[in-house]
Amino acid sequence: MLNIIELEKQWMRYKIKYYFPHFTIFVSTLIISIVVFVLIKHDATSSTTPVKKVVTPLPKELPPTIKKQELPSETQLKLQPSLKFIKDMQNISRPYVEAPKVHHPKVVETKEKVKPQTVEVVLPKQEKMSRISIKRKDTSQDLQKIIKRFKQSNNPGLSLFIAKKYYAQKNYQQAYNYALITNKLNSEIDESWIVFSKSLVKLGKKEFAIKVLQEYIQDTQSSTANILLSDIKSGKFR
Amino acid sequence: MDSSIYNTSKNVFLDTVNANDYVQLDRVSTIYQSLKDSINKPLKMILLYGKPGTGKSMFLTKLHKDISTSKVVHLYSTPILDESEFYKTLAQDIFNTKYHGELNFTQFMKIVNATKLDSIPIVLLDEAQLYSDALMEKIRLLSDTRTVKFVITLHKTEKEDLIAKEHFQTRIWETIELENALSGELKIYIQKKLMKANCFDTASMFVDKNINLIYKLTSGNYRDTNKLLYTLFDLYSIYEQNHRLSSFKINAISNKLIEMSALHTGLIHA
Repeated sequence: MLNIIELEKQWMRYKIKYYFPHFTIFVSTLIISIVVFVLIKHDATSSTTPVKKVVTPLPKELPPTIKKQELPSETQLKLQPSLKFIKDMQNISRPYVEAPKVHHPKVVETKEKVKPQTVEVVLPKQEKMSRISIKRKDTSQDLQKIIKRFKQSNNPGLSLFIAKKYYAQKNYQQAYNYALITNKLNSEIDESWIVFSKSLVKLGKKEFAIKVLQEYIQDTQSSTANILLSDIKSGKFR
Repeated sequence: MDSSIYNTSKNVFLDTVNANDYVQLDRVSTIYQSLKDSINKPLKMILLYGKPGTGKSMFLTKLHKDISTSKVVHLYSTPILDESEFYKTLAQDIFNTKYHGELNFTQFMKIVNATKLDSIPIVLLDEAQLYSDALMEKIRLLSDTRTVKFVITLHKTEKEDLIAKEHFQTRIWETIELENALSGELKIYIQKKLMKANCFDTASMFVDKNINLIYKLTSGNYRDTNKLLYTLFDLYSIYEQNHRLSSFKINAISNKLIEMSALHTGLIHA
């Protein structure tokens, strides 16, 4: 007769042996998943914390069409832009506004409709008031990141941004290059032609810049380009 | 459920070779029919091969039973390893010649040539891998005379060795391979076997989950399946005697008991 008790013990040992690898794999997978999750989360938080930048010189760069936006909170902060921007508009083309790459959870940037010349930014409740001093920190590292992103995406918005950055840094050769690339990607961006022409002037190719602008104006009737053309011709822009 | 049903079911799976226990499965029936057809062809030798437990002996037994009424057929389930004894047995069974003392191949061939038979007798040799190479050579020579037709069974590996010998390649006119059952065939095999013995209750207890486990454990090998199920019903009987059967479902076979049977029969190890 079979020894059932012994056989049951053997069966129990067999089941433990049978499930042990499955259990081990499950536990290992679980641990690995948790570790990976924690690492990813850690990376995400560390990459978001260092750079807090939102555009403050809004008044200077925001076009008058920017609208006011209300956030679901009570405290309001009014930023009074400098009126100088109207004058600047004569010289500087419509600025390129780039959304910040990383949003800090507590800081919200808003650009919307503005009553004549005011921008209202409403902050969340807990940010109990204090004027926000928003600074834009542009490092060459940031620019390299954007160039890298542009190489991956070929987005004309990015190349225009890069062109403008180089122009601001007085690297006119690179500004010219990126403006040219932008024009090739999308020939209908006004700003790109402006940066392109201004870079040409700065590189000493005034005649060529005039020629480019004239052809562009002929095609698009761009008023900004017109203003720049007259400034170049009159020697106001050099 | 009748208390003796497990014992009855257990005995169904006793590992015996009995033509009455032959279970007809579609694929197996086709192979069997082709074997029977081969017997009627002018072949010198038919080779039936397969892994152990695939039903070769059962095939020979069944064939012997089926054709013995219409043909002269002799089945040797146990190999006669002594050459002289082998010839003497054939001389007596086929040629009705009783020989005393040692009988060698030359003397045996004299008997073969001296005797006129109405029809070609068929000799069924099971477990032919146990015969010596020398004796297999003599069997080959005997088949060449066309006075005796041989059906031999042997394990697959042995067959491969045998086939490798050129002289056999030309003489083995028909080779039939037997294989393990597939999962679906195994279910039919188990249920048909039980139903043949009127064990309808236990037959209906085998659900797909059980069959899959049995198939996994035995790979569809008939002998292993018989051993496993014999032990399984033995376990059921013991649990029943100990009044511990209530811990198992009554409408399905317990996989735990199948695994315990597999442990006992050595199909798995703890």
